[in-house]
Amino acid sequence: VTASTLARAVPPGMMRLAEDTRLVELARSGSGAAFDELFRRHHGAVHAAAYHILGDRDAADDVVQDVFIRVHGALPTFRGEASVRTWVMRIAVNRSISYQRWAARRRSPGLTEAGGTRNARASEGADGALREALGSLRPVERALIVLRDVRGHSYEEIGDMLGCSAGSVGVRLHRARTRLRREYSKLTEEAEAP
Amino acid sequence: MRPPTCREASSRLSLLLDGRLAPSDADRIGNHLEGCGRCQGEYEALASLRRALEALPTPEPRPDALARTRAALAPRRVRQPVAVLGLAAAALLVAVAYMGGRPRTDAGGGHAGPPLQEGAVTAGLDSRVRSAQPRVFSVATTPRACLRLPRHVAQRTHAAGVGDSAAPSGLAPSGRAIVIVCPSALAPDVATLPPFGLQPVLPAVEPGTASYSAVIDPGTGEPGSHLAVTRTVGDDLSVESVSIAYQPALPGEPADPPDTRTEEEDTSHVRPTPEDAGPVVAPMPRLVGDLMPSGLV
Repeated sequence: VTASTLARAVPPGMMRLAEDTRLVELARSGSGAAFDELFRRHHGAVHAAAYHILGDRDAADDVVQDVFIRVHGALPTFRGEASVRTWVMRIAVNRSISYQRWAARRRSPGLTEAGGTRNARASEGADGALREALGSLRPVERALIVLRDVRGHSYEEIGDMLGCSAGSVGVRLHRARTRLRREYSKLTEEAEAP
Repeated sequence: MRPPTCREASSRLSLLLDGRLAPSDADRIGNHLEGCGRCQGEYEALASLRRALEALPTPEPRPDALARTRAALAPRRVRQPVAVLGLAAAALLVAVAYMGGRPRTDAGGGHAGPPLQEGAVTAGLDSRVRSAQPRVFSVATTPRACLRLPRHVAQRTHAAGVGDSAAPSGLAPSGRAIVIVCPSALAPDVATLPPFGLQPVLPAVEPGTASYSAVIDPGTGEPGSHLAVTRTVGDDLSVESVSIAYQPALPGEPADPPDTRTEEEDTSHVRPTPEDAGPVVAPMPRLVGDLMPSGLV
C-alpha cells in the first residue's frame, strides 16, 4: 500500500468530492455509497433523455431504474474509454430505444408511439404538437434530436453514445430535423384549420 | 469559389445551425441565405424548432428513484448462505484475538502486548459497533506485510498495486497487512480510524467479493484504536458489521525475538496450497488459518 494509494481512499462522507472514474472503481469493489453517488450525479440526465425520447414520465422512471441496474452489473466492464457520463447515457439511450420498441409492439390503438393519446397531446398546444411530431420519428432519429437539441450534447458525445462518427451524426441529425420540421408543420396546420 | 446551389445550402443548414461548418463554408452558405428567401425561411424554421425543443419542460425524476433502484438490486444482496456467515463469524473471533495479541516491529525493539480477550476488544468501542451483527466474510492479518499471504492473494493484490511487499516503498516492514474480504453483494462502506488506512483491493481477491487491505503500523496506534466496516443504509451510517481492536505495544512488556528472517526466507513460509495453481474460490475464512503462525490457531 503506497502513500499515494492510501491517499486515494475515499471515506463514505467524501464521495461527493470524488471523480466519476474513482466512484466507478469504488462501486466496482463493492461500495454502495459510491454507487449511490453515481446515481445521484447521473440519474437526472438519464431521466430527462428518457422522458423526451419516450414522451412519458412513468416510462422514464422505469428506464432510470433499468439503466442503473445495468450500470451496476456492467461496472466490471467499464474501461474508461469514454467518460462515465457518456457511458451511462449510452446505456440510457439504448434502453430508451428498446423500451420504445417494446411499448410500440404492445401499444393499443389510439396511443401515439410516444405513449400519449393524440387528443391529449393536441390539447397541450404547441408543446403537445412538438411532442407529437417527435413521437412520429423513428426511435434513433428521436434520440438524435433529444440528445442534441434538448440536452445539448456535442456531435462527438452523441457519436459515442450511438456508436457512430461525428460526421454521421451530422448527416443523420439533418435528416431527422427535416422530418421533424415537416411533421410539426403538418400538425400545426391541422390544428389551425377550422 | 462558386456560390452554393439551394440544394447544397439546404443540406448544410443543420451544420450551420450547430456551428459545425468551417468559417469559409459558413460564409458561403451565409451569403447564399442573404440572397435566397426560401433557404433563409428554411433556416429560420430549423432555428425556431430548436428553440422550441430547448424550451420543452422536463419533469423531475421521482424522489424515490434511488430507493426503487436499491430495492431492485436488493435481492442480489440476500443470497449469502448462513453457513458462510457462521464461518465468517468464527474467523472474525480468531482474527480479533490475534490482531490484538502480538504486534511486532522489525527493529526488534517492539513489545508484544498481552493477548486481547474478546471482551477487551469490544469494551472501548461504540455501542453501535458492539451490538452490530458481524457480516464481514473474512478478516485476515499477516505478521509481516503481505509475505504471509497465500500466493494467489499476494499475486492479485500485487497486480492491483496494493500490498506490494516487495517494493521498499510499499508496506512498512514493521507493519502487518490486514485483508478483509466480503461478498461484494454486502457492499460495505469502509470507515477507518487511525492508524488504519483501509483501501479497496482491485480486482477483488476472490471472484464475487469485495476486498480491502491496510497496513497496521504498531508504532502509531493508540490503545483501543479500532477499525469499523460499515454499510450505509438510507441516509444514516449504520454500523452493522465488525470492529477490530488493535492493542499496540506497551512499555515494559517482553519483547518478541528479533525477526532475523530475510524476505526470501519469509516468502518460503507461504504454504503451498492447491489454490496456488490458479484462480481460487475457496472460502476466505481459511485465510486466517493460513496466515496464522503455528501455535496461534
